[in-house]
Amino acid sequence: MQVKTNVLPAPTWRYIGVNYDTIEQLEKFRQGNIMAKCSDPAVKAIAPEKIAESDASANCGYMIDTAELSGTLRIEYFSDGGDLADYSIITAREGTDAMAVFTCGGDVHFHNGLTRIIAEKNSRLTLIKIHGFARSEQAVDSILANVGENAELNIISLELGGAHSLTNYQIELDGEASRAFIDSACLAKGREVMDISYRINHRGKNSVSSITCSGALKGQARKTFKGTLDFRKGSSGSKGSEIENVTLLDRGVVSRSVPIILCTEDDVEGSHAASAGRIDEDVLFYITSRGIPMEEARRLIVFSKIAPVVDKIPFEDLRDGVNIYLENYMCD
Amino acid sequence: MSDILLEVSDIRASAGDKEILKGVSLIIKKGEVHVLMGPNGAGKSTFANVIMAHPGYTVTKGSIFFEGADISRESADQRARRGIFMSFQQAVEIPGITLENFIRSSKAAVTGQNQPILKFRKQLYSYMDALDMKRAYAGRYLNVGFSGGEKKKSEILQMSALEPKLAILDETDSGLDVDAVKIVSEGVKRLLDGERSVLIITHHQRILQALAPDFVHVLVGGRILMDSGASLVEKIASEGYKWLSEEALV
Amino acid sequence: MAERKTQIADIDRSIYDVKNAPDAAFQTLGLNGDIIREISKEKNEPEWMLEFRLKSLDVYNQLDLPPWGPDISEVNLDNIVSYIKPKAGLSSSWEEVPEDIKNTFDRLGIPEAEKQSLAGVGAQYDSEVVYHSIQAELEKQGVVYITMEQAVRDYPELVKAHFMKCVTPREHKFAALHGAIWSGGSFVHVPEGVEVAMPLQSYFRLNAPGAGQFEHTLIILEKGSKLHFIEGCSAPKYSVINLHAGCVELFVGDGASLRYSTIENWSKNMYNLNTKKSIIGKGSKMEWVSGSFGSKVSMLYPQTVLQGDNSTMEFTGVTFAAAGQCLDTGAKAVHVGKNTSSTINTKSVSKSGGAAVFRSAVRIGEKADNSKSTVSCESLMLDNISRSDTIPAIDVHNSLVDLGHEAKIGRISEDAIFYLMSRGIKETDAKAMIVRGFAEPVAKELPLEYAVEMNNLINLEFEGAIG
Repeated sequence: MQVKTNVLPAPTWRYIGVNYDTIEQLEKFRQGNIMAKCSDPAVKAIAPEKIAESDASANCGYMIDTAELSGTLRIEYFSDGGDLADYSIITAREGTDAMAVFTCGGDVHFHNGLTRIIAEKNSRLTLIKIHGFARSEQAVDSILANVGENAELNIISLELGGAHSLTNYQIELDGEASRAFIDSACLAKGREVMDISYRINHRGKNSVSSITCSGALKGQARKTFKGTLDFRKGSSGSKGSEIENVTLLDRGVVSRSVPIILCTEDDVEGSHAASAGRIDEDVLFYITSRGIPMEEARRLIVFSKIAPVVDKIPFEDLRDGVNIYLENYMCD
Repeated sequence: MSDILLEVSDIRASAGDKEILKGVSLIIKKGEVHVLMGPNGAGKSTFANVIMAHPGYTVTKGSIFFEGADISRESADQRARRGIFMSFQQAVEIPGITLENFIRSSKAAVTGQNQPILKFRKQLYSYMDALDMKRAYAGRYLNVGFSGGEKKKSEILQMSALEPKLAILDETDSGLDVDAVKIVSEGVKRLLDGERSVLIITHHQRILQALAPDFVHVLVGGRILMDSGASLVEKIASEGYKWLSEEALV
Repeated sequence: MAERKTQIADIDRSIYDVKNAPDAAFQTLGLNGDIIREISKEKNEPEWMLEFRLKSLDVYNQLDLPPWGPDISEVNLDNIVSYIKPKAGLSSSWEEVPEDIKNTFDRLGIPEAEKQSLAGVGAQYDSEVVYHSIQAELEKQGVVYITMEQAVRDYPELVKAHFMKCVTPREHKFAALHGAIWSGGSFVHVPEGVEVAMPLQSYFRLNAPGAGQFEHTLIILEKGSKLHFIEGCSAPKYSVINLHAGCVELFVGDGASLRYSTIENWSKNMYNLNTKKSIIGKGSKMEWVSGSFGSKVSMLYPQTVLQGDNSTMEFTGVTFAAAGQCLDTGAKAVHVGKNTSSTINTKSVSKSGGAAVFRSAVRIGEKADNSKSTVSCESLMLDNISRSDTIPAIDVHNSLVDLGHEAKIGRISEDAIFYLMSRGIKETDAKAMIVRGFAEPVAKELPLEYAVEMNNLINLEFEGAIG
């Protein structure tokens, strides 16, 4: 069954094709071996009955309480051809500062992930998601987060594509002085279709947010970026910004962007900037004038687009994985 | 082998439909310090960029030889690997690549040898210290958020590390205070070992006092109107360029 | 009284079934072929125009209302039939014109006769003399400037080749409605190489029956010609019918240059669902200057199709949404030709509960190599009961582009107000002064008398805020 997802919070002309994306909703999971690995023994796997209760049809997942964590948490999913639907709940306890890294590898036919986050007051949570290490037909990853008073949520998201990949993050900045920062980088190639939807609702006073997304498209890749900052009543003193920057490497790519700001408070500052274009000739000349060959210079520039995000990944093997991905990406 | 490093013969170049260089010739021998002066819009930066093979300029006539090889058709990176360096008037900002990684990649490309991280870093730091540049800048993204002076130093740092045979400094001294000009000119001096050469494009005397040029060329309206010794610098400083054009008209 | 009525309707709106109400209304309002035939007969139109109207009616019946944008379920569609039916006897009198509109006329210093004309009560606005002197001047240059109806009769080939070829009835439901019931408007034809020295103003045409409601503007610029056209007038236009579905089609030939300026100030009961579109040729230049002040709801996004290589488009707009208004405005650019360039610059202000929405769409086509587009929009929120949204869409199908977009939302800096007040300026004056400065990029593109009127409109809004 086809269902609508990544629906634009404020729809616009239909012919542009950005108001929503459609995905195939599975009636039944395709069976396969699914492995889930968690670095911290204190983290409990969500029992199947809990998963059913959660109203998110899922076949694996974790219940994460940041007060119980010792060090950076790492969760890896792996599938050898079966559908993967993971559902995790992260409670960032008051006063804690935690980091969690989620990856998925192997061959996932359909991937549907949902991470529910409750960030209690004065907590800080950094969540790192790498999408696209696994092969997939359709991959949907969602985050639904509520951020409390003076709490901070950092999301580092690396979008490395897939036949049809969708990312859907919605963050509610409920508390006063709550903060959310999404740093993401995307690379799409071939005939990949990517739909990225980030939405931050400012509800608390003096809340702060930023969205940055940069990346590159090559081949006949199609990317849609939807970023929404919504300053709701009561969010006075809040600030939000979004920046998107895409480098277009080949003629056949399609890049769509809809950076929305919705605002019903006067004492706020919202801004967005989006740019798209080929590699800057002046930058290429600068790099090649230092002796670096053209192809290498192009690779460096593409790397530079995702490097600020890659640098934030705390595990070397994952950073290496991204580098290998990039090498293949440039050669494809 | 001849001691001629760069030989530019009757170069004509244009940007879009506009011809900027209208037949410029210049010979730089090993170990020499040359100065290129001239009023704004004379084509000085174009000349530097044409030697470096900027794709925005089309060379319609003439040739460029470097150490006896015709490099007229070579791309910027090929020329850099031969040992030509140009410091940019406006250094490009590239978020995502650190200054250190960029110079290391360049050094590897220019020398054809891998640069071991620690050894390279040690050397880089020594260059940075000499330029009075904070070491923390090595880990910052290339020229991003650098002040005007810091960008100039970043350029000279790259020059120091790449050890070019010919360094072209395109108004590297512009907008720098007295101390910074001193630091920059000392950086250039360290490069000069009797073999390496420098072409300085400037409006100011200060850097020339420090570097004692062998030759001064004056470019006006896309042509070199005068080649002379260092004494010309003072005349230009006091009288400007107007007398030159008048003389040329006679 | 009329004012109060609108407010009540406003509150009640939520109880209507938003989804079904308009469709039901459309089906029962009885807009049918017979009425269309009647209009056409009354206008003494050729057969092909009647056929076009009937086809448009079909399209109108097929299309749905846009599922995005402001709520337009309140559009008074029943009146459309009574209005467009000839001799339906929809006469109104000066007494029925709401007080606030009359007051605004007075404050803008508009003469009595003109006021009545603007209010749509059919008084003859004595502009014929002025109009004829312009006509004589233009005729010398071979420029045609006549009513749309006259053009249909006198220039059938030109009209047939262009009429609703730029904005087709399929564009959206209200374009189709327009195609079926259009009435009045201007036709301009500028021959090759002719540069029209003075701006043409549609102002002089407002007294034609029905003009300014479903009027059609068709402007054709041949190669290398030049024109500045000014649409409408900055005084509020009052009409008992609350729908304006006009259509503007601009054909700009190779190397031609057209500037199209509008200061729109419909009365605040009006739904302004207007469609403006331009197709421009090689090396041509299209400039839009657009100020939106009036209406209850506006949906207005002048579109430019940069068909020819090396063509350029500039859009400069300001939108001022005050109490009871939802102004959804912006611009669209479609880059088809190579080396094309578009620049969209807008400013919007929302106050006293008004909603200003900036909406744009830029498409860079597969063949539009080396195209450039810059969109920038700035929004000012003057209080926290208003609303300001920015909904831009960028759609790039070519890698050889240079595309930039930026937007900012915020309020007037308190420091700026304080600074002005410390120099003895009243707070409201200080705000008005800052807002005028904010709107300056548009004001400076307007002919002087319009710029002055625009500033007056801003001042009026601020005075209103106190009273």
